Amino acid sequence: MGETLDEGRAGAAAALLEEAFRWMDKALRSLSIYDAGHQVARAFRTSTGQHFVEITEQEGETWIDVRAKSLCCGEQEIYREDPKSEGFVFRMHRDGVRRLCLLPGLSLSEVERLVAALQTDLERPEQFDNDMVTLLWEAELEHVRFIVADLLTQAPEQAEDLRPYQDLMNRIIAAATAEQLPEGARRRDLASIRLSAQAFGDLDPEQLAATLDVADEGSVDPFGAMGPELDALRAEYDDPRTLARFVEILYRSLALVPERAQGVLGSFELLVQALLRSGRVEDLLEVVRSLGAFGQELGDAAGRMVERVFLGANVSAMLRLLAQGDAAQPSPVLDLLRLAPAERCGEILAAAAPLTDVSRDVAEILAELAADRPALVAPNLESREQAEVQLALDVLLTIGTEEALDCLRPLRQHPQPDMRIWLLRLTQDLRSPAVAAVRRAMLEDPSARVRAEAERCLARHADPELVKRLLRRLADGSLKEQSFAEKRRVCTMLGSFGGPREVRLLKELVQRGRVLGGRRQVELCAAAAHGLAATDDRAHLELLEQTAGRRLMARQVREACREAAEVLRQGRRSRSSQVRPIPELVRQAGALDEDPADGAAAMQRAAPAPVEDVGPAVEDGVFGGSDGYGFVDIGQATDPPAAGATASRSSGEVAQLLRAYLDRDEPSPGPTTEDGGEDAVAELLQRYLEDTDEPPAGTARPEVDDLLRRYVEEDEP
Amino acid sequence: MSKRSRGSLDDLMAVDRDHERLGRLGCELVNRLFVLARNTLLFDLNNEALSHPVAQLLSSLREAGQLGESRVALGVVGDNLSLNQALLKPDSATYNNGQFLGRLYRRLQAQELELDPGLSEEELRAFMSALRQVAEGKADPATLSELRGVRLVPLSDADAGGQSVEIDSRIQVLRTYAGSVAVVARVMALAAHGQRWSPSLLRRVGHDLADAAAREPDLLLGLLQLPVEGSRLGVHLVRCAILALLCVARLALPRRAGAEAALIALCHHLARPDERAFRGTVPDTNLAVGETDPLTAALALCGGGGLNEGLIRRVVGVYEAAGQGRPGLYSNEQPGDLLGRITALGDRFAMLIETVRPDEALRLLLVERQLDEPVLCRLFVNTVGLYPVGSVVELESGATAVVVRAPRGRQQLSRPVVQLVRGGSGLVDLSRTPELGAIVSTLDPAELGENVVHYFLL
Repeated sequence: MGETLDEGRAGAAAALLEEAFRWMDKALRSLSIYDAGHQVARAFRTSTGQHFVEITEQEGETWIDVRAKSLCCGEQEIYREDPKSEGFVFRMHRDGVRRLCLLPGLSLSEVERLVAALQTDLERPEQFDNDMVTLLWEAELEHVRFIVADLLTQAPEQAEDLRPYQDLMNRIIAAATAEQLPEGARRRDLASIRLSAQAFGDLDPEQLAATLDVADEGSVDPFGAMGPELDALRAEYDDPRTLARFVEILYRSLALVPERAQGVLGSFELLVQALLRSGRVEDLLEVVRSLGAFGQELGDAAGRMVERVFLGANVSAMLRLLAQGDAAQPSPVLDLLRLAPAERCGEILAAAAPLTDVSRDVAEILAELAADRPALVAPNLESREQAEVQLALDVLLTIGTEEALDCLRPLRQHPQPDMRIWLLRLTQDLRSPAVAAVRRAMLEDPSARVRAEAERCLARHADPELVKRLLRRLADGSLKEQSFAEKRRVCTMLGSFGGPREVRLLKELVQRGRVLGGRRQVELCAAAAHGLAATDDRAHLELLEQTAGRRLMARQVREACREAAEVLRQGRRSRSSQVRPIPELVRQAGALDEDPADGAAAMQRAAPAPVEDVGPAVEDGVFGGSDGYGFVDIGQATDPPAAGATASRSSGEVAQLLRAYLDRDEPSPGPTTEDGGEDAVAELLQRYLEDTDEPPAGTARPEVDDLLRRYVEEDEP
Repeated sequence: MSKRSRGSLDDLMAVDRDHERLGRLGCELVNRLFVLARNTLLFDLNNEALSHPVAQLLSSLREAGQLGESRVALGVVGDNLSLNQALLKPDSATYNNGQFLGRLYRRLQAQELELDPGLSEEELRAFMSALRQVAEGKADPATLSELRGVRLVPLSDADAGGQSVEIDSRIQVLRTYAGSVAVVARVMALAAHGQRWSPSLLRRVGHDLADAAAREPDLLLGLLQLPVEGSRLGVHLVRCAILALLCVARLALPRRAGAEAALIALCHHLARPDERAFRGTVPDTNLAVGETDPLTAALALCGGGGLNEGLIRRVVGVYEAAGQGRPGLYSNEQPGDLLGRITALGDRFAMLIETVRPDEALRLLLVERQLDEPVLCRLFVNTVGLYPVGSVVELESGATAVVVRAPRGRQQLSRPVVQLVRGGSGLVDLSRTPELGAIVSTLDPAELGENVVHYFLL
């Protein structure tokens, strides 16, 4: 009975639907004849709407099956299209609509919109990207449900093609419903990366094209996450072609889509970092070489990528690998650094400076890279880091061209005296005009140690400026304030390098070392005796012996004369043995100038010692430093203990004391009482230099006056 | 007397034990039928995910047969669950599963499902196939009555719910999401190879996503946290579409606008400049416009399918909004199409969440785009929240929780609704429970060791 009732109800609904769709057919046909606003068309639409509304009011939820050419309610057909036409039923079925459901509440306007949607000609250009499903959706039919075949199961003939996508859908659902995270599932999904790597690693174009569907070649940023994962990939895909293909894709992305440069370069950086992290320097080397090949083909994108390889952090990583490697084996890191753009020299230098084990190798490479543009390294000379300055200096000297040496100028104003001294010592063999200018400029250096080193270097090259400078020091009173050792050094140099005029001045000074003279004058006269010894001229022996025996002479002067005479007698302080003969030196310097590279090879960066000193410039126990000037590197107080008065102190302490003393450039800790004798000597020297005729009245002692007068009256040598 | 009493007591105890076993079996059957039905709606029938539930249900049916039951009739009437007309005492999980079955029954226009204890696997799978068809509205419930070993006890007229009863919208939304990814991946693969593809496919995906966004916006947001499966591009574009859709929905624009935004997001990859432009795919006249501009790329790639001119302009607007291409050259509006600008934000956010946690991605997005798009950035934050759905957060109280709902108001921006995972349980609105304290940090979902999507999906 129940079934009969149901069947009866279904039959009634089917009858109503049959009638409603008959009206709909009329409404659709009227729209093909009349304009939508025509009264006939409106009337048909209204009648259609009334029928459908009546159905939902009477039958409630009503389902309609959509078949290829007909509509059914249950098993009963309620509408059939002309088999020869492609009506709305056919179009709905073709586009995937399988069932319609009319819900209670359906309104006339909804039916009108439904009719309009079903009537739409999909062949018109503006409907090109629509189908029946989209039209029905956009009709905003709140009370009409339509069941549509799945997009991935719609076309049986494509079942095989669609299978991977159906599997994909199932995988996504499984991932969502799994209680535990899939093993290894991470935000940067390794599976898809592996897939991509497989695709990229396959160079066969056909196979590549086939796999790229799922590997998403050319997607928004398929590479962004790959860099960090390469370590993990390496175990499974150790094929270098993978990397090469990967880099090529990145490169082409950058070359062809410049507006995505930031993202692509970022991805490339990740790749570089990953390679460095895993120590794959050789692979990275290949990457950079391949970029070089790309660059020849297509432009500057490769250059931009290569620059990223040599960013500061990456270079640091490379150098760490270099430092950790076997020094005896050639490292690929060095080959890699040779491919760096010259513009990165500064950064590489800064990174390499703290690594003393590798900095020498890196300096050679940087010299090659910056050979044509040494100014790229010049900014490193202004660093506060001593190691960086030294390395930059090393690089420039290795380059050795006049342009490179010219870049050294700023270093003479470096705030650290040790660095300025380092400059002098590293360039002590060079005869370049630029270097000579630097040396002369450093004669005015605020630090006494630097000035002393500059003098020594100038002496080494027989620079005429040196003698003038020494005399000026004698004359301007600055030397008077210095220690005896400094006075002795200056006089010794005058004796070594001065002409007859300077020798004569020394002789005169020796003869004025009276007992009554002030201590500073006595010291100067005693120093002059040592200067005479430095002349290596036995003709002065008589004078020295006589002076040593004169009781009126100050004791210090007499002792100095005795010592100097002894030196002359034994030939200990031969000018030829003190320093290399100047002509020979000049010849060598000329040879250096002819081939800067040879000169560069002669450099000893680790500890450039000064050339053999020009004389016993310091007394044992006074300076204590091995180089005669008390200069030792900070923290290197390794000199033997000083003898004599300072024997109780370590040589390092003494050296530091002296260095501080010299750096302060303060007067020597001697007697400070002024006396006429000292002033007289000062004026004597002043006038000697200035060629003044008259000494200042009432300040000079007769002996000094005579000396001055006679000396000034003489012709210039 | 005593013996008789003893016998009666034993009998009574035996009856009690049988009742207890039956009650336990009833709850077990409810849960197993729920899992089977849910997986039937989620997966294809040949999927391995169905094998275990099938075996489990058949095992329970066998056990019922061993207890002497000649039939197994699971009923759901209102809040009541029954086995062979005996009421069950379900726990909370079983009760919830029973509610799912209740909705399924109403779709089937039934109040009870009767299964033969000797049901074979083939018969059960035939039932599942029909169940799937009916649940999706593709077949009439009457088709189930033709199956062997299964019988539906129909609802009374008063209780009839109709076939349009929604069983569980979340299941449909999940299928929509997964299907969208697959379809988009396929379309993009076809486009990449210059093969013909139907543009209406993407439009339909946009429509489906718009419907899903109207029903389960929080779930859609949470699905953004799913790991990328298979197609990176497909997932990215669907994520982008979801974000654009939800932003448009936040503006209370018509759902057609949302679908349009989704369509733009799904298509925008087609306008990505491509090296194909250099290979003669496009005429020289277009190359003269700009060799790598988005329009040229769109024209080249859309050759296999076809997008209308208006849509192409809007797609190009996405790139203009992102600072690419030539601003204002192709789009109709100045300074850029609104939907395109929203899509550009979604595009960037979708890219960011591939590599960082969602809250970090939001911060990065704001850093990048706040100056250019202050209003839209605010809209974006209001849509996804400071802690997007799926974020694993640590509270001041020390508890760990998963954000399960997008903010409904300003207060929930920083204090969203969360599901407590450690240090408590249950759903908590942090804006109304100050004792739990504020969120102090976010955690990587991997640290939790659980699938966070599970918390707001099932």
